[in-house]
Amino acid sequence: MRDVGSRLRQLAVRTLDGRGEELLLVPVAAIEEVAREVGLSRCEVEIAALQERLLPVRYSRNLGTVGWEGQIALLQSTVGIVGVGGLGGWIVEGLARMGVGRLILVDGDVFQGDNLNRQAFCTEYNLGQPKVEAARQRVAQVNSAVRVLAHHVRVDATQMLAMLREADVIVDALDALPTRLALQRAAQELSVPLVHGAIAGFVGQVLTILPEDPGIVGLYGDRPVPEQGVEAQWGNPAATPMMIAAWQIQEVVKLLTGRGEPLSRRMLFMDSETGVIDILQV
Amino acid sequence: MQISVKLLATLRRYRPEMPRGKALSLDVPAGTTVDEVVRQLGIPDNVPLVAMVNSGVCKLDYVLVEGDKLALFPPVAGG
Repeated sequence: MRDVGSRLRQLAVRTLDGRGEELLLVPVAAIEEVAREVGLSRCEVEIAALQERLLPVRYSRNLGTVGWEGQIALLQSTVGIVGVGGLGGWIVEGLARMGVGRLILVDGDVFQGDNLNRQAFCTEYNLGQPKVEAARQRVAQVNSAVRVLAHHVRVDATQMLAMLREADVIVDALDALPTRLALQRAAQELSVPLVHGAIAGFVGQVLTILPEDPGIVGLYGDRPVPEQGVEAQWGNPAATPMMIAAWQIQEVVKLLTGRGEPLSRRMLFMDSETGVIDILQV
Repeated sequence: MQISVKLLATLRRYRPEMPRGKALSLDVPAGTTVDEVVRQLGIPDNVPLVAMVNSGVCKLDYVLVEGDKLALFPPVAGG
């Protein structure tokens, strides 16, 4: 690793940080070059750089928010994202840009025309393509240090446990209540925090469910649940998934870096039609 | 007895005079259930909703007590 450090130092560019102190930035191309030279993954090279207090320039605007150790923690983490539609697409985008080292994606759908109004990776050119495949291609363009494990399967309870076993945090970006409840039970069995988000029309909700929390099983679990909530009537416009996905990304970053206070047992309920946000104790 | 009710999102339309983000104070007879309050607010039976009292989810036949804080909100599951 000493060689990696000295090689990175040669390629680093001197600059001043916000407080006027010297900072050594590693250009994007230098990470790739060193990874090739020493036979390590880009993620490993970035971690080595951060440990030497050399900052990969791509994370320079993360630094003030998550710090050196926070960025290392993100790169060393694995996040499972279940559902790569309206919420999941933006969540993949955000977590890849933040530099989460490994993303496990689970979604059995392919893109359809009615996804074009809101789903981050859906274009006129990839209709019919599996969503997880489009997500993998996008991540490769945005942050090639991030490893993507894509599962193009419909989620079922037993498979979920096997696929998500290595996740440090799981994200619920599904679109049906029964599978959301099954996912919470799986996350609890794995003792992994789950970041729940759901949307309908102008409305959305976010809740971080720690293994011992009642979570959405506490909300809906003791009675028969309909497949869908009110979104069947209210639609899913472009902005609502972006807003709720953004909160989910932030919750994941907080959990992985140990910063802030997660929305555990406090459900954020947003009504963007009237501009009101409530926090419900759950 | 006095209870407070908060209607969230589209359920607000049943009490448009309720100030945004604020709870409504209701005077109801002792023994009133959540279901009866829902009906009193004019919310039709077929409107899906989740009811919470104070810090917990409750069933619609929950019998309210003085000072209870009731919140009603739509179940949301899109993704």
